[in-house]
Amino acid sequence: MTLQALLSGQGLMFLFFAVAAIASGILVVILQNPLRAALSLVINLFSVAGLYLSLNAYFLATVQVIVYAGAIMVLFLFVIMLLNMGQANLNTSYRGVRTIIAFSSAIGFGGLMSAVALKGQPNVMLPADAMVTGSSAGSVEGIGKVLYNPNLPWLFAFEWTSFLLLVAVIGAVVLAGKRQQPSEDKA
Amino acid sequence: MNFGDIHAAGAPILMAVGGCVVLLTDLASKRSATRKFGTFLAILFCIASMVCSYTLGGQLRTAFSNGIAVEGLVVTMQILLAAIAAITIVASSEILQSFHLPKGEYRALILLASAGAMVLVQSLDLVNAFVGIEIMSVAFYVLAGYRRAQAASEEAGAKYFLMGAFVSAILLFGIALIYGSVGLAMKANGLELPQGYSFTNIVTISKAIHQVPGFGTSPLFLLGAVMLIGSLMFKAGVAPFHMVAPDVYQGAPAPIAGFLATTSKVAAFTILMRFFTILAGADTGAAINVVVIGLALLSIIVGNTGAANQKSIKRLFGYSSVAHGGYIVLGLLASLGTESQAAAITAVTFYIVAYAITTIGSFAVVAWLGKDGEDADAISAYRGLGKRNLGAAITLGIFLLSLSGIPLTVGFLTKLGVFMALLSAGGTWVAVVALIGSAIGLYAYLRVISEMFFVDSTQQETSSTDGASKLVAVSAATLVIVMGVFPSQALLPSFEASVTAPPVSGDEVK
Repeated sequence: MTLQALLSGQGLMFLFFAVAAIASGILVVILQNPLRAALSLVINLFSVAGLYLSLNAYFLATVQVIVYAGAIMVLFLFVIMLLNMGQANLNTSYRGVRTIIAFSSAIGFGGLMSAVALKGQPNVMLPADAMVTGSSAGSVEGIGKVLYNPNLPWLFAFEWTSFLLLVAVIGAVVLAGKRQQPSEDKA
Repeated sequence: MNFGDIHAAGAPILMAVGGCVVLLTDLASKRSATRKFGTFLAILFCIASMVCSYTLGGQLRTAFSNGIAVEGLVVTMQILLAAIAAITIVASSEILQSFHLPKGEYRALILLASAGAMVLVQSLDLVNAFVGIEIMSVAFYVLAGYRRAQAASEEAGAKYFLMGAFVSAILLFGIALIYGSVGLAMKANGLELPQGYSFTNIVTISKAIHQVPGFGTSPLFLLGAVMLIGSLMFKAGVAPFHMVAPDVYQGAPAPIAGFLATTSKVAAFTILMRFFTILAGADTGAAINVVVIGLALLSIIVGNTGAANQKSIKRLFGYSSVAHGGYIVLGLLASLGTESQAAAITAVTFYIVAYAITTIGSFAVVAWLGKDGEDADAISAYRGLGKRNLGAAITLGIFLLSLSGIPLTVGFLTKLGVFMALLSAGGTWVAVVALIGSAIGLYAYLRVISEMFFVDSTQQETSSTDGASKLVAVSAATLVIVMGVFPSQALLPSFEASVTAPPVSGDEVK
């Protein structure tokens, strides 16, 4: 993206949401208090929803806000509060070799990504219609037409995703359900 | 979409439907009655899935708007995956009974994990591959922690889940980078998207690699490709992503460990083979070669040295699986050369099949010698086994010899095939390092054999009740010897069919 493109209205939107997403993402990892980390995650999810909006993906942005920032984050907060996780229970001291390795690999990977983003760009200006301005692809109708179209490849993946959810449900029931005859189980 | 499409995707669909049916039957009927009937139903669906794969034959056919492609290699792997699932379900009845674990959910998870693995194996679109790998992995996390009452099993499940979730994110990131780089490159060069293919399709990526000058060395694509390869290697348990493998294999009950070790390798290496066929002969610089050589040699060294001083036999098999992952990656490395490609694909396929049989058998012996469902895990428990239970000692001995690659077992032929392919690709020094690694591994396996036959022990013979595991172990040992002595008669024809119809090549889309 050239500097000129960044300074347009859409570019500024992108900059704002991208910086907010990255900053809040870093906060999720480094904040010691789990509640604050969870709230940073909310900001992160909202920023990503903003990015979706600027790509005209209205439906995805709405779902992101309702499902992730709404429902899932409420569950997160409930779990944190139910477990009553304070700072005292957490071993988050920033010391030791592990931390050094973690930080250096994070910085190294960040540097690699930036280098690729700056240098790896093929020298190409996208045609104006590559921006999805005014496209209906992001609406509920547009997504439905793409997702359920047997002549496009996404139907197959979509149907199998339902089995992914089924496996997750079975797994949750098995791992969290009541134990059968715990007295006979060998610890 | 028509009947042909459903038929092509039929094997995983049958497994998934089987999973649902088994689960619902279990819920509907009384607990005591379901044990045999549930096993019967599950195996019925596995056999149906095998038949469905077999009727597809060896020719290449694509389905679901080129989202999946089935040919000889995929058919072979799907039959293998269904067989592994059926064997695991048979061999697990003892542990399910002893530990009072939920049976219907267990069978359903095994069937669904295999369905996910099959989706992964047949997918041509990376999006489908991701969905397949997730179905498989989520089922794996649950299975690894299935014996919740035991801390080791719970730990294995938790570790596997955390690492696996992280790696899935990296895999998705890699796919996104590839998607972006392919799209940009094709737009910039005025190339049309092949009719009916998406940007994440392997065929489209192949077109970009072979037709856009400099695409193979563009950092965006290379980073994506390395992330994709690395995360698939994690799923296959290759060093340095192997940290969880020994823990998981030790923590999980033996039949589950055997299932995890084999299914993950079969699925991940098959899709890697497919991805590597489009990299063959392409100008991707040295990056991918360096990464692949590094992963292969590191696995062989780490796996074999790690196996050398283990006290637990399941950990030993865990490290052994890391080492064997390394040899398979060597075969993949050879498949990057255009001339050695056909031989390398045959060698890798043969290696995967042989490894699956040997590993399932090894873990079955561990379950067979166990008592009340507890595995015979400590190597000291095998001291003097030759005097107490000669049959079990010989069976385990055959597997250990095969794992170390001694002639007359199938392990020798598979290693030979990989090394031959590697030498014809010009990787002489790589082969030498790998051979040194094998020599270290030989020590690890022979140590157990000498414990069994040449050390006396005062231990009492424990009478085992696990007839199913015994049956699995003995038949697998027979197969190892038969395939080792008559390789061409036993299995080779089906592999040749698979090589004549490689999934995609650069020419196909030009």
